[in-house]
Amino acid sequence: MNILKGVKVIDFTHAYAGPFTTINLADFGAEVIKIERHSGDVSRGWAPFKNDYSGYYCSFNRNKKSMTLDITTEEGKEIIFNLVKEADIVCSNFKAGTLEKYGIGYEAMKEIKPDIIYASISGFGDKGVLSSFAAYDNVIQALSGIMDVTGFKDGMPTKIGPAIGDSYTGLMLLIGILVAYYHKLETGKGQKVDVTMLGSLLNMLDNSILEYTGFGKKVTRKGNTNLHYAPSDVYKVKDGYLTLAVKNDKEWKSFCKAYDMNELINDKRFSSNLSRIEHNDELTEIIESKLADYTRSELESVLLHLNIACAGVKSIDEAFEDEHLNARDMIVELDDPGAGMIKLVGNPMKLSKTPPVLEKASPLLGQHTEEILKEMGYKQETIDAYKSKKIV
Amino acid sequence: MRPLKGVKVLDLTDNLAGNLTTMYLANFGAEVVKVEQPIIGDKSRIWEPIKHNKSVYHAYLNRGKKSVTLDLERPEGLEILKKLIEKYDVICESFGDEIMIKKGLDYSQIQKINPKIVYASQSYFGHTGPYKSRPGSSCSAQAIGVTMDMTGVDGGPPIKAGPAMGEHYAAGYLASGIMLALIHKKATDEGQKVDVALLDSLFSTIEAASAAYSMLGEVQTRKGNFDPACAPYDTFETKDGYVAIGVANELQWQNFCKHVIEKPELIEHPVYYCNEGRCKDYLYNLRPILADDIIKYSKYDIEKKCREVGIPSGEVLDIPSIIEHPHVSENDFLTELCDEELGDLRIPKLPIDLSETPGIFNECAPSLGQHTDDVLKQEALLDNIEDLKLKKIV
Repeated sequence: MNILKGVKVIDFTHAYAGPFTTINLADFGAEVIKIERHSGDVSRGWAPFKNDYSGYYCSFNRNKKSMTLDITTEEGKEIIFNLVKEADIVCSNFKAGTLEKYGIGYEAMKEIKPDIIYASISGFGDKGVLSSFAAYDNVIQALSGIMDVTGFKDGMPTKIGPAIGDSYTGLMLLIGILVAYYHKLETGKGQKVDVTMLGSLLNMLDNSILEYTGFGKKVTRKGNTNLHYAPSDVYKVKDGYLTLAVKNDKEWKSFCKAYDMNELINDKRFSSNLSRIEHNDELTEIIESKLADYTRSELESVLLHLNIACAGVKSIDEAFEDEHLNARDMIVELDDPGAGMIKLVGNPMKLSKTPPVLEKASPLLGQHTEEILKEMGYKQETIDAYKSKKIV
Repeated sequence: MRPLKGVKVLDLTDNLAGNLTTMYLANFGAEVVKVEQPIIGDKSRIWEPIKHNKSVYHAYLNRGKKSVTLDLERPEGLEILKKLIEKYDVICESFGDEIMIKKGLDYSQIQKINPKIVYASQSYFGHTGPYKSRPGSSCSAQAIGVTMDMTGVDGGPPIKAGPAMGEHYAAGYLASGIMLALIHKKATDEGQKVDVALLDSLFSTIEAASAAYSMLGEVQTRKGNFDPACAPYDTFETKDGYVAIGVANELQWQNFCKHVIEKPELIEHPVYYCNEGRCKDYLYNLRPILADDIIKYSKYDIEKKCREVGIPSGEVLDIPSIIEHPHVSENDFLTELCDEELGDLRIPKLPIDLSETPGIFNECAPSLGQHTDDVLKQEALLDNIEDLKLKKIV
């Protein structure tokens, strides 16, 4: 059984952040109706492409329905209002104020559906000096301080590769929607749920912020080392990179014994965790020279046997072969109507009795327009007329 | 009214992701009872930063929770816990399945005591699959989960994320998973297990890398700060620091050439006139042309010129600079920590703004065992607490 079966979501989201939220509602059975303009969600134009079809779009819109609609027309607006009357949740990630401009902001929607949950993502929020600017992930990573704390101490600030400014904000909105929906089940009341990209990334930096507000200490990038124990770093080995974490003296001793470094055990520079942290640069050099001739999997089998946390750094092609990610259903294959057979990332929320259902691929542009309008009671002539006028 | 009022959570977690998860629930009004080992307490009680011998991080992570001490190493302690389990809606743990089985507290056992309970587990690799017993760390989850391979400079080593990225995603997913299970429970009166792994959570953030590989065999890996799909979308060095710029469509590119770098000739350039050409020839040819120009200006100039023509841009700020930025106070992104001993201290507020039932973000964290008497007397119907205290079971 799907948990959110019967929950209807009118989804104005596009690109990455908002679709990341609604895919998680769709995976658990909500009916997510994606409203797209005739040019489609902007991500339909984003690489990778196969048969001129966007794999980016396919990645974040599975289990959703697509309806094309011109929300700037009166008829289009009427369709939205009729949809919202039957809906539980409205979701958007336009720049603050966009839906209001078209007369379909929270106030207008609340008029026709008082218990609606109206959820939105913006870059900076609707107040303050930055509120009128558009935000991209790299800009938010720069402004939030995340870039400054990521990378090597003598290198340049580094963006976390994946667009976390989008996906993490999307995840925060998901929590907000589910809490608001729970409240609605209890009380029958709806509300507005707002999340900002900048606020979300600041939330992720919690500990570094406390270091500053409590102690005036400026945390900045420190490569791949760990503040609390050493050795813990990323090492270049024979066939790539390996990360390992030696968390205490016992692990340190067994690590030294395993790789012919017995003399280090009594070396003053490395005899305690604190001194190892202090001399980490020297330590990294020694370890790298000792490990250089082994492959990642040779090292993993020895170190894991010693109960030392470690892992070879995997690229996406290697992750696709990873037995654990496969066993956890984190790689799923879907037959996409545009891109063909495609492997996508599964859903990390493993619920034992009501697991996420990942069966339906992402919709073609407007694939469900007619079906949805008919369900709403629109007659075929009206639908045809709207189609010819490019309203739907 | 707070949205999760009446939801009772028994919190056995002692790691960052677990503490964050139950903090979110407490912020929205759930009654979160943290079960801590007597005398020692939760691991987070000694996490840095420390002020006046007290962990600031603990005070942040445990806002609004209650603390009960209970020795789960002894049978008497376990018995009391089981009595509590009967009366709670959610139990949250981060010990791992093996330890929980040993204590008789794994889901199959707990289910017998309370079939309606939501049993939420947080771990590096999850409770199923070949790595379930593998020793874990944040870095190994980032390494297997591909996010590390995707972060760093072209040709350089992979880089781990500065913040505790995996823990924060896992906490967001576990809180969402618990909410989904509570919604299901409300409809059916049925409980279940929610199993969220750091590894899975990180892997879910790799954007379209899976599509690119499965459709085209393309391995998306680290590329510094630029984006493979649009250019120039990158971070540049200026006279006085770094600035991020996002040019993602043709109009932005034209404005960028005309008004930001004043090289209008690039608009009609045979290769760079379109995004595809810019992406293909970016790193070794187009980027140096742009970088040579941008370094002549201050980061503020570049940011201002970009914003004036609708190009998203932002300087790379360090943490003190963003915390003191007027936009942060204008939007109340921070709030005050409640703790008499630690004094005034600004902390990030959960970024989820609910109009009718806002979260409360500045409640105090409990002292060790502060609520032992209240909770145990009320929920476990104990009348021998003094005796249990003498034996250090509570």
